[in-house]
Amino acid sequence: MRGTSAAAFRRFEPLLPWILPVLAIAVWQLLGSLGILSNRIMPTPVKVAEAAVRLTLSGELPHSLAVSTWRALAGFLIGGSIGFLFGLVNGVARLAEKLTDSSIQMIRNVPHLAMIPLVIVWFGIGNEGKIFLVALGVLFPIYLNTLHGIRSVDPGLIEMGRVYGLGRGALYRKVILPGAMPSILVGLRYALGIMWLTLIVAETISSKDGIGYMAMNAREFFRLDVVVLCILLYALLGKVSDLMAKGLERSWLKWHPHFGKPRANPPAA
Amino acid sequence: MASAFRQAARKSAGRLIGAPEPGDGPDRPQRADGPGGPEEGVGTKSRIVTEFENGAFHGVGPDRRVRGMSIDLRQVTKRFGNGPAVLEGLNLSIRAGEFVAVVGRSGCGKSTLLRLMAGLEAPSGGVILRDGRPAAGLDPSARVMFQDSRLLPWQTVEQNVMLGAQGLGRKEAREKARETLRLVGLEARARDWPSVLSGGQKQRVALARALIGNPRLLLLDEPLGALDALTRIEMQRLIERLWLRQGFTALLVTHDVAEAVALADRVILIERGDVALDLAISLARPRVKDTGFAHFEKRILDRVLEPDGRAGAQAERVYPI
Repeated sequence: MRGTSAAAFRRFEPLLPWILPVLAIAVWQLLGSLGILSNRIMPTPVKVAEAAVRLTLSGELPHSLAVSTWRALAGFLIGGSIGFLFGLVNGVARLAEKLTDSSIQMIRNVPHLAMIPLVIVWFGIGNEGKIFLVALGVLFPIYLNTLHGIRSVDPGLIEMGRVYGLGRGALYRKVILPGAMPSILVGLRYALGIMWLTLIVAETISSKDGIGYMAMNAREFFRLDVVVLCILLYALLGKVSDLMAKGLERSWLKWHPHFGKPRANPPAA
Repeated sequence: MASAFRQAARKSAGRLIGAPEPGDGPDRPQRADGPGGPEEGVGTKSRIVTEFENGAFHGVGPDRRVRGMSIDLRQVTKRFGNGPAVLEGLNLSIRAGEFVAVVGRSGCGKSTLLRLMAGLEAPSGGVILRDGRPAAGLDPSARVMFQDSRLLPWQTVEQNVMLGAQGLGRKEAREKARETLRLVGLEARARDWPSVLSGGQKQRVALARALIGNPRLLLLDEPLGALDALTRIEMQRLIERLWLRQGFTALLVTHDVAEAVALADRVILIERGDVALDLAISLARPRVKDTGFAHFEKRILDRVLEPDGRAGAQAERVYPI
């Protein structure tokens, strides 16, 4: 009996996270249809879906999505690489850390969105400004977590690597980087969140296309269905980046008892 | 066979400390090699039994293939920073293929001694000779086994063992790793992550990693300290078996006097930065806890537990160096 119910639970387990969102949408639609929630304040899910179809057919939605995604990824790659490199170098070289760390910390403490006015003057309202801001926002969590990850690699393992004749390159590849990886991936997850946040704010304030622009524009014309659609898109995009980060964790940290799939062999006592 | 063991043990129980006996010389009955000859790799077990039957009790007897490294420490001093000397003017000579155990109270510098021999630390004074040549830094033919296994958690058991086979091709290293894992009885776990192994299994993997490169010197830094009593005994037997088979020089740092007596040809006590006792253990292998064993154990323990008042006294040297 217990076995069958456990099996049933396992079959429905993947659906569990979806129960709450689906329920919320159902209640929302119900309130709207009954007239309790005015359409002028909050359009119903059906209205939002209609807007999505209309904007998709007109090509506006796919274009905005593509533009925003491209900016996000470009900024992420640039900022992430710089942060990773600085973290890596400062993690092993005392001199480099002494030289750069305090400057990086100072810049980090400036809210990067406060630079928007300056960025508009520098780059105008094209792609460069957004990519710059995203890169700036993403750099620090990656930098900090890479540095921390490298610092927290067990010195015993590094000593072991030396005893077993690993060269400098092999020591990095086999001991230091994999050891820092859990921490780096935490930084990556933070960075992905900051990536979307920065981009949307930047696009809302100064832009001529992208999802943020679409939302801002819709507000001007009081198209609340489009505004709600944009908000839902943010939620979805955030979820997608989170899934990507989780996928990376699962494939890069499969040795970790926390992330790996349970093995056929039970842990020995 | 079992009776042969017992006979051998009885024969040697009477032998105590002293110069090598006439029986150890070349006039001892030569081993009758089977049709397989003395090549390596022929049935481990039978090979060791043959050695026991021929009475190669010290492990340095002429019919055990010795390929170990000899080590000489001359007036070695080690201090960290401006602190007091951890080791001071220490002299120690270890013959090729010998199994030496180092005991002493915690903090006496026995681990420092091991790290100096490994090349992980440089002496502040004096010289260390490996095979008669001054040592400089790490030696690829010396391997260390630490108290914690220090396996890389992100590599499988097999990959961890392959780490000890630097310079070999990938395929060759993998074959060798399988072979070495078979020696320690963990062939079946080759593809597992270290995190699913027990403490004893992890140390066996660490042992395989140390032995895969056929080291000439194996340095054991309390490798069994964290294991339970039964696993310890198993590991001691395994280490002894592999040492007999592979002929490397072994240095075991331990706080367990019984373990030292069970494994070593010589037990060395470090006190106040110098050798305070250097005692040859002339018991038959494999060692059983008989009266001879108890004699050595008590003797070393008594010396360890002696009040510090005797510090100025002459170091007790029994072994002829």
